[in-house]
Amino acid sequence: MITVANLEAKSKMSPWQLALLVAAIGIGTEIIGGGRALAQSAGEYEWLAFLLGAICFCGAALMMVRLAQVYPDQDFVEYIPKLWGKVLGSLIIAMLFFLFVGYFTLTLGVFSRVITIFMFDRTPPEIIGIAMAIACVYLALQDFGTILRTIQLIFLVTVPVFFLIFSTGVFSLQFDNLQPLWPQDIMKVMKALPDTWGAYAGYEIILLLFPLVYRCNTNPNITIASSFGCMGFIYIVFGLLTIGVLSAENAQNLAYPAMEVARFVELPGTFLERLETYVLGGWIPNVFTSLILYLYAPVYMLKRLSGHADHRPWVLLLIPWLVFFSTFFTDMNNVLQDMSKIIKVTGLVFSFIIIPASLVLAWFKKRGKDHAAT
Amino acid sequence: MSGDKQMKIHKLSAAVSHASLDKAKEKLALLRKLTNQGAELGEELSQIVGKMRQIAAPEKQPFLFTQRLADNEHLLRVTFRDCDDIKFRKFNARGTEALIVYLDGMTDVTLIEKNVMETLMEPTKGKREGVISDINTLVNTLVTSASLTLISNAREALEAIMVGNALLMIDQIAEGLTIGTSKHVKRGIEEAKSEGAIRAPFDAFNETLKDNIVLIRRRSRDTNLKVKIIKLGDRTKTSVALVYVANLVKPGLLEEVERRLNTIQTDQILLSYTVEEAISEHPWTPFPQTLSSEKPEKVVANIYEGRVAIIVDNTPFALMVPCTYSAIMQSVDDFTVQPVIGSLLRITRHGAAFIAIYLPAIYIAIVSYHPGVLPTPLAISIAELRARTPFPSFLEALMMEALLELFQEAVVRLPRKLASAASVVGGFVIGTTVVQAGLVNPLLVVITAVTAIASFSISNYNFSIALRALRVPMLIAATVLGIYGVIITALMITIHLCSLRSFGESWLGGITDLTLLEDWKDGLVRFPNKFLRTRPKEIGPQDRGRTGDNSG
Repeated sequence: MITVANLEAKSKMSPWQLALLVAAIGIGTEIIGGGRALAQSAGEYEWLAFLLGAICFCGAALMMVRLAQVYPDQDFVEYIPKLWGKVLGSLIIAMLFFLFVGYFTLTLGVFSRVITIFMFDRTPPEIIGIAMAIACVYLALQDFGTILRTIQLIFLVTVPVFFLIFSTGVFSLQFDNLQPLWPQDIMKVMKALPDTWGAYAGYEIILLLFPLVYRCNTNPNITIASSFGCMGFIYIVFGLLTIGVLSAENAQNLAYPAMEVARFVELPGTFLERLETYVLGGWIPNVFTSLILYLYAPVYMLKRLSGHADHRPWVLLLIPWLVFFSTFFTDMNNVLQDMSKIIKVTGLVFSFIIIPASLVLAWFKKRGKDHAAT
Repeated sequence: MSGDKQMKIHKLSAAVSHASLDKAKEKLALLRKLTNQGAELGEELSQIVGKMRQIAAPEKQPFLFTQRLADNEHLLRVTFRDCDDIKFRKFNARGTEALIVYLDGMTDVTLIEKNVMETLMEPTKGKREGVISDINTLVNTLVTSASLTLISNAREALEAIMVGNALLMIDQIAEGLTIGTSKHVKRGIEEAKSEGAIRAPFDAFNETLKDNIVLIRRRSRDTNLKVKIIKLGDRTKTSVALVYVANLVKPGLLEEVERRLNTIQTDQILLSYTVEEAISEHPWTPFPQTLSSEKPEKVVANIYEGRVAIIVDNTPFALMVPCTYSAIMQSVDDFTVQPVIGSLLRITRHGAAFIAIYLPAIYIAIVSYHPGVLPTPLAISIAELRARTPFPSFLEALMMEALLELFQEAVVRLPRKLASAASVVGGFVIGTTVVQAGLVNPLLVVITAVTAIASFSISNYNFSIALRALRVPMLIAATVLGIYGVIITALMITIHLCSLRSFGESWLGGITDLTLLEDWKDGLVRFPNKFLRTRPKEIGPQDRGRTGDNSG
């Protein structure tokens, strides 16, 4: 391949691009696959749970930004052993690795089942999963610049389309289903908060990609907060429409409430019918953007840990295992449910215990260094 | 007469024993052998002489000119042996022997007669003959041509003759003069053959490099607009011009273009595409990696955005690098209509590109896997139409694709008068009869026609055929996995497009890149000119402002 002397750095990105990646990783499977659990725990206040979830997980993401800013030129894999020592540091890295591998496996598993149910009831989910995995591998084998550009293109084209199609649910909205709008028992909503974690999960990628953000006047805290604002808005609309169209009682008993919302839509006098296929058409690329980042993150970690300059061998090494674990168990639905619970607990521990502790430790160490210097 | 009757005709061999036919054949074969050997010997001797002369000449020089005109003439005649169109004209130039060598048919003989021979052969009144003792006298006082080049290098002299210049050599001078007398048959400046425009200028490039450069120069009086000519092709020595604006082009881009051009190792450059392929980063992609145009105003506009144009002699197309998607989708006409209309035209083209790839595949996916997305009456009517044809929808679509490709090829290859007849046959006769014969359902004919029209509306032919090439893989994906297959394949095409680079810049350019959002005003849409005060960021020009010249 011919290289050009005057190439600009293509592996760098702006704070807004990092924010877009965080939004792209968040808006994925959960929007279709995760409505039922939240409807069970939050009931008609699903929208409020999403709102509080956005604030809460945005806080966790901002802590990650602050931690990354303490070590601006190093990624998580480099500085965490310096903070916690080799053994604990390795455990934390392994935890993050497990998180991303788990996200990928879970997302691909749920995704292939949803597509099988709503698009190809006679096609095995394995075929669906493998087709998506091939697309993911193709992108993961490219350089980071290409991955970033692809995600931007897909995100900016498909998220508005998906949102627009899903928003047609407003024609079937019944405001009675949303009453009372404000909860009398706020604790019920607070208890449902952890269930919204799946909607925003994946923001841990900030820890790995922050060194690639070039320094400019834009404050990364603002961009990341905007990213959660965007995700929060989409999920709130999603929550309002799901409950408003189906009612909380019905949503609790449906496997995929969002798809039922799309089915309910009737656009009088228009050409369009049965919007669930259109919704899925907009959803597939969004799942793809989440999956590619879930795949790139562990591959990136393996590359850094092994000291290789090239991440591609790790893609080829990892993907068969991920596809196998996401599709080939006989009792896959139960496996996915159990896996989801484990990953959720791990993710919450990571975001709300390990990251704050690491941040405090980093500040102490920095203060100690500053004292020593003065 | 009786004596004649008694006369008997004998074979010659009967009278002369050694004149038998066999012997004659043997002798003839021997003679042929000797003639061939003689020719081979002559060839070898010429080569040996050439090599012996080369020993004295510097590297890559065929020979060295000497002070003796007779020697120089001999060397030139040996080099041009069997080239009957090379003319040697010896004459007496004021008492000194002179020789003019030129290529007949590519040289303006009148110019030679007027500017060289008339002045040199003019009798010297009262002056001593043999005044041409040094080359400076010749240049400064005797030869009246404006285009003169002093040459001591034999290779350059030979190249000059081959492009139509005349070589003048004088006895006792070991240098020659090439006189710009090139003149040959060429096509005039005509309308563009492959790029339609309504209100844009109509003059387009032709096959002559000089004319093409003139068309560019006529559009800009900028002294920073530079033209650098290099030769490519070991045998054809084709002239290739690099045109750029010195204070705009991205630092390093010109050097990179030159570096890639210099790596081209071939004996012949006959088409600009040979250059295009050699300098492209991705030889296997179906998408074009250089912008090509035969419209000078488009080339000038692009070099003022920071691109480098490459014009190959004998080709009426200029190549421009880096190539980006938004530049491919632009047309000169976008700037000759109101910005709103220009934007609509562009959006239509983007839509056409989408239809050109995906429409048949979406049709296959819907009728084969997801008829439920259609309104019930339409789904029933499609099912009725399909029930009349014996083939699965994939085969129907494939047949129509094959027919479409055949028509397109036929229309391109046929003479114009026949092409219109072929279009009628294709469009009306076969289009109708395949339906009447029950081979293809009418809806698919509509789909195929819309797809074809969409691909015709793309302004860049190379991009349009790339879209055509992707249709069949899309059909297969739709047949195997329906809409899901179409989306997965579309994702893969997107990934491929995002991975393409043209001279280090992203092929997709500023499209959906958050850091290049400001390029959208002259990308997906076209803003009014008062908003287009900066050049696109994606090319990386040195000076981004479009007003004034900041070079000082």
